Amino acid sequence: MTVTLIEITLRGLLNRRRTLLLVLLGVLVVLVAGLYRLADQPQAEAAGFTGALLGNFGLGVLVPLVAVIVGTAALGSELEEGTIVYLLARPVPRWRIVLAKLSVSWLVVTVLVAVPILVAGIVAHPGDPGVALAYAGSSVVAALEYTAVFMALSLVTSRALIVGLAYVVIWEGVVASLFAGTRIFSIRQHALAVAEWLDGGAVTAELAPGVALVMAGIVTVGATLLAVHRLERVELRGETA
Amino acid sequence: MGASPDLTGTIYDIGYQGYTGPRLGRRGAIGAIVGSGLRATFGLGRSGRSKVIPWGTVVLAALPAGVAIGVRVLVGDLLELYSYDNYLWGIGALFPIFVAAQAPELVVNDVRHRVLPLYFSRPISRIDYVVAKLVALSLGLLALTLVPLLLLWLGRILAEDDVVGAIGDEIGAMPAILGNGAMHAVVLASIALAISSLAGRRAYAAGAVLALFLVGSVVSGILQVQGESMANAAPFLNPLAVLDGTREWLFGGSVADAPTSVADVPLPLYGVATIVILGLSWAVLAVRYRGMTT
Repeated sequence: MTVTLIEITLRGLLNRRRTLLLVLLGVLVVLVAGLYRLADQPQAEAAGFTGALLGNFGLGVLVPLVAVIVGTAALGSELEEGTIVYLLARPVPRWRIVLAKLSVSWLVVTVLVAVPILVAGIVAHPGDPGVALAYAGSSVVAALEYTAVFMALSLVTSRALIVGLAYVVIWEGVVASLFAGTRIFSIRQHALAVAEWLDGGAVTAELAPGVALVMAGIVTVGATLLAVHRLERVELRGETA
Repeated sequence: MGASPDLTGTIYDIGYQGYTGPRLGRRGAIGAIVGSGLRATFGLGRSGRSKVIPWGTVVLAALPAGVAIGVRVLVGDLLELYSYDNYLWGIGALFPIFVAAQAPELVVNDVRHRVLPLYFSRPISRIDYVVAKLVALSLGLLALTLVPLLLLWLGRILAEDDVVGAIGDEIGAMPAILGNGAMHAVVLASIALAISSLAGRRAYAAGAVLALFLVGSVVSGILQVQGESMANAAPFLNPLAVLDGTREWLFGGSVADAPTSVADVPLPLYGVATIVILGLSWAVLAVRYRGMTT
């Protein structure tokens, strides 16, 4: 049953035009890196450029955008289209449904963001693939945290995509960059701290990696528990089937 | 089969009448679309939740003007936080949020709920529909691109002891205020409507509009600090920077932290870029609605 669940989730997430658009967004990161190399910039500045590209575009835009679209669609589209009923009618514990959906979405988001970030990093700065690896690794952590939050969001509100986009732009983009105290609750800052930790110094982050990892864990587990709790409260009624 | 005589029905006169009132015609229909579009832009007649983003951004857009006037009244001329030149660039982050939330409200559901035939059964053409929606969103955007500057203008005049003299000093800024406000509004509305018209659902339209501005500004910001050739290309990736460059070309006044001030390109190029953006957006809209029958 779990295998089937994983299979239908994958099919639901991938067989859409929007997946193509998300792939294009990743290609864009690589494209910017490629243009930078073609422009024959001095090697000394490549590190700064790579950090800005992977940190601001990769972790700042690509990861949240992909995660908000995939994360809210994994359970949200089933809720919206009513097909969640067939899933809930099966003798599968609901926490397992949430975990299966979350793992699959995480996998999809990771493939869509970590690969372009890794490739773009290596293209932009072939001399130091460690930076690319650090950002790609931290994007895997950020993918899980974002996906868990957006999946919980899709069970809390029916307009999860809009609310999620507003959160990405307003909280992650504006508030967390202006008010230093809110950074501990910013997934983007968690990811930057993890990148710094993985790279060992070339990346500068505002948060300590330990704090960031603990906060990322708390947020992810909390969001997953909330999602399970919300899904357990969905009631099956005769007429909805 | 012959009708049996005892089953004959009766036709009642229930008073159907022809419409004898004035027919407003094409102009009336366009005006109605603009009117309802403006209401939709600000969430009027809708739930409080759909008013949060439009009114929130309008208030935030005017906030710096209020602060600047307050500082001017209390402290005087000592520091100038916002001028007419840097204001729109300063509040630029609000424009994508406003248009991403409101442009889809205007066009997406007409297609999704298949009500376009109802529009086109009236004496309007496809182009009339698009123009009316564009006008509605542009007028709505003036609340962000024009109203704060008018407030700033008014505040600067009223803060002076010699009001009449102050009007004389400040009136020269009026063409730039009006021109920039209108230009920003029309260009931003065109971009957002063109993207929204291609999306099947409002949420996806909002995501696409936001993605364009986010990616544009982030990539532009990265390239800005990467040496001359990159810095020259940077402004053209960010629609807001292109608009700022066009503003500087038309009315003068450089903004310190904008990518246009780092780049070393002739200013008319920004004007060309603005026209290209407008042309592309309008072409997308024209093609999208030309064959629209559903």
